[in-house]
Amino acid sequence: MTVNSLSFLIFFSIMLLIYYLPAVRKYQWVVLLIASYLFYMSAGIKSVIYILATTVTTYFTARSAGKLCEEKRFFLQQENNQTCDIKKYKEQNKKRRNRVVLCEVIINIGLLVMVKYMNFFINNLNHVADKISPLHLNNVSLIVPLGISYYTLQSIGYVIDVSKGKAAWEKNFFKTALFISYFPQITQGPIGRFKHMSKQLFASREFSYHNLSYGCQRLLWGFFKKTVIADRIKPLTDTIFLNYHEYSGFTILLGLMYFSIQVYADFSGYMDIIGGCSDILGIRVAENFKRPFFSKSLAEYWRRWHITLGEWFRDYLFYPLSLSKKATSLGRKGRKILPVRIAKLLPSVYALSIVWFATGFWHDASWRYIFWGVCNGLIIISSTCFEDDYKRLKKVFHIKDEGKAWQFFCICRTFLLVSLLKVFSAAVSTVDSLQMIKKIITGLSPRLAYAVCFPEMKKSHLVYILFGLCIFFVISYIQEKHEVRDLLSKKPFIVRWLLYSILLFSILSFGVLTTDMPGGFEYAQY
Amino acid sequence: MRNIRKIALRILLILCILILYEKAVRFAYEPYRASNIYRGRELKENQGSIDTLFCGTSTTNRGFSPEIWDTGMNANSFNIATAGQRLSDTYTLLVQETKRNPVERVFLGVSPRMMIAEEIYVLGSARSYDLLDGVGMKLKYLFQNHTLEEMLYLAYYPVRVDSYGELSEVKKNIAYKNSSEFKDNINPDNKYAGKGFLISNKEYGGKIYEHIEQIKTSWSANMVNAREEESLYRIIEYCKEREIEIILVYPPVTGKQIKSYGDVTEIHEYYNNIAEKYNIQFWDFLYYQNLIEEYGNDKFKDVRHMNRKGGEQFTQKLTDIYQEYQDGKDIRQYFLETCPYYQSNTAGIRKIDK
Repeated sequence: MTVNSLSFLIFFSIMLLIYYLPAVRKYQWVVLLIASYLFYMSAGIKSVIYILATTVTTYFTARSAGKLCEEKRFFLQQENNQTCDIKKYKEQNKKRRNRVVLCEVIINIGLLVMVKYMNFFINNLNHVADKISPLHLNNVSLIVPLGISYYTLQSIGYVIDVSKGKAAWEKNFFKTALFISYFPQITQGPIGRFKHMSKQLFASREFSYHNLSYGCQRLLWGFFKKTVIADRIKPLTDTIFLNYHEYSGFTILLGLMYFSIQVYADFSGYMDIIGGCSDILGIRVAENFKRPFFSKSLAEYWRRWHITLGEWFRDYLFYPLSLSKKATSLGRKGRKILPVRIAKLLPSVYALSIVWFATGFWHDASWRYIFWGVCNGLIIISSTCFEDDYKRLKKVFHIKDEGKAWQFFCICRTFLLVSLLKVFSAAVSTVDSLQMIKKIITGLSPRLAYAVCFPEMKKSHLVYILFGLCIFFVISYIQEKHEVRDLLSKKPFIVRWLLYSILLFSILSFGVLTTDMPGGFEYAQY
Repeated sequence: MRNIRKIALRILLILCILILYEKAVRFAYEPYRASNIYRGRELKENQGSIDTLFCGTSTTNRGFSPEIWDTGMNANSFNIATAGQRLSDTYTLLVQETKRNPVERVFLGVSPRMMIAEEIYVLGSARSYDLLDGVGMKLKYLFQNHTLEEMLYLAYYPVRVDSYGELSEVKKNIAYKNSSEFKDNINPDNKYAGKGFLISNKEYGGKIYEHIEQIKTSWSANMVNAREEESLYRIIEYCKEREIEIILVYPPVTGKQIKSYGDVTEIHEYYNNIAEKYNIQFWDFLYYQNLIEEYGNDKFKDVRHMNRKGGEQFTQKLTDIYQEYQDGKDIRQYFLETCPYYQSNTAGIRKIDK
């Protein structure tokens, strides 16, 4: 059962009816927990073992970390402590908390590595071993549980927050289970924070027509993006990338741009569907997108795209790494041999390199995603390093940041860059992605013939996509300045319903109603 | 309570909008030539008087001429077969028609291709869905046999138009649908001969089209789709319970098609066993003695479907055989022990290769 299926809508409607029954108001979180596990089990009962393992370890590690925090607080409240005792105790307590966090990280990342990355390591080992000895390890056949990459990060984030005293530990095991398995966000995020989610998940609330209305609007918008744009573009990008040998570099380049739009419509469509469902339940999940294609730089793009993942890596990897002893000493050593301006940046460069490697590797156990992460990192690092030169250059050419034409240029440049980087995720394998890059560089030969720009695509389907994109662009443009649903609520009934009807008719008439993607969405595979 | 009323009103509004939209798009975009429009109306007009039904897929649809049958048998028959019809769809249609007509006999054209089809041909189901009468029947059909996605597709297939921009077609459709000819049920298309019989005057040139010749490997009984098999049993049992005579018929196909099946013996054995199990007739025209002589390429429009000439000739033969069967004569003389194309390893196969 994927969230873009009718079965999910029926499942959700039944759950909603039970959720708002006055008799179960006190136990609404229990309804959510049962629904979450039912939803999860629909993807395969075996997967439940993994999520349960994560829940158990997370519960106990958060409990230990939480108790250590309480101990520390209690100790500091005592009046007869001496300063040296306090310092010593703090250090000891911190060490113990770090050990607990390490335990959580090792177990859960270990699980993730075992199911997702094991074959990658085995294949690479075999590749190296082939040249030295006849030793050959067989691949392990383990199912990759749905959403494991997402809930693992969410759980680790929770334990770290508890150990740092940023969040209180949850004493109820089942409530921890709900936080980890909350069904709208289990398959592909957003990666929620306990502090933000717990209050909402465990609260009892009455039915609100406003929530229902706003939720349904968002749900409809999500389905529109998914069925009319993403799944309509998919056959075109599949045609190009599966047969890229037959096409020119120009067609591949265009294909990458289409793919960028497809993935955005797909992923943000999913977010709108689950955001809409959550809105109806009275729970606001974290936003994962902020119109990323309006970004003027790659760094800004990453602040607007998959926000919760970016924030997770920022808070739990980038900050700790850039403030670590190693980074500080790197900065100090750098000052001796490099200009101060560059040396100052060394700790962040060090942290960014690891973060982008990890981001790439998190997406998929393959070299192409590692390349993708490294390329993103290199561009962002170099733009940070050369920022001053860049500013000077702009001054020479009298370019003002506020200029509309310049801003438009920056937006186009970022989109092109993002699309080019998509070559690693669009291709089936690392070799294919490198071949595609070669084709783009050596055989661009732009030609504006229909068959070159939209190979094997019916003209009517192109019209549907353009229609969808027009609506998508207008709504996104308005969203940059206003909350569309608030604006809509001020419009007369007829106008509102006319807009709903257009979306509904578009889905029924032009939308692709079935999908063969695992999990139903592009990002569910990660 | 106020909320419930508000929600209920909105749900009702959405339903009304959806129904109106479907009706409007269907009116504007469904080609005025579409045979299903006229077939549905004819089926309704003949309500209460149909005594013979021809059921099955496209091979039946193009192979059984109700007009020839009615003339020979002094009966009132109707061809409710549609392209890609699943046996579960056939069952639903059969139930509908037997409830509102004094049906005495059913000819079920078997389709071994559909029996082993893995994927569901939703458009095929959509054609059957169109022949169902009334909201209740349609809803029952949707909920009985289909997944949710199929349900949505079927209920809204008329709005899934490939060329919304072709306004000249819309103009033609609206003009004809507002004309008296349309109201008088006159189909301007020469591809529809009435009472569900689809015709073509094309002659098969011997070329095999990839999309037509869908069975590439040998047909095997263990490839049969359990859902289809179950539906076949349900159809037979339903007819037997109501004392409706049911005859399984495998209409003729071209030599090329037979060759592509590999060995047709297994197909024959499969249906023969079912017929024996239920004590019903199975007339396999792949075993018809004059199959090669009488059903050459000139009787087909493509590798599998008969053209008008072939369909009418075949129905005439079916009428003759049925009359003899009713008179208690031995009709086994018409059928051989094996498919004539395989009878001798010389003549038949050589003919196929030509």
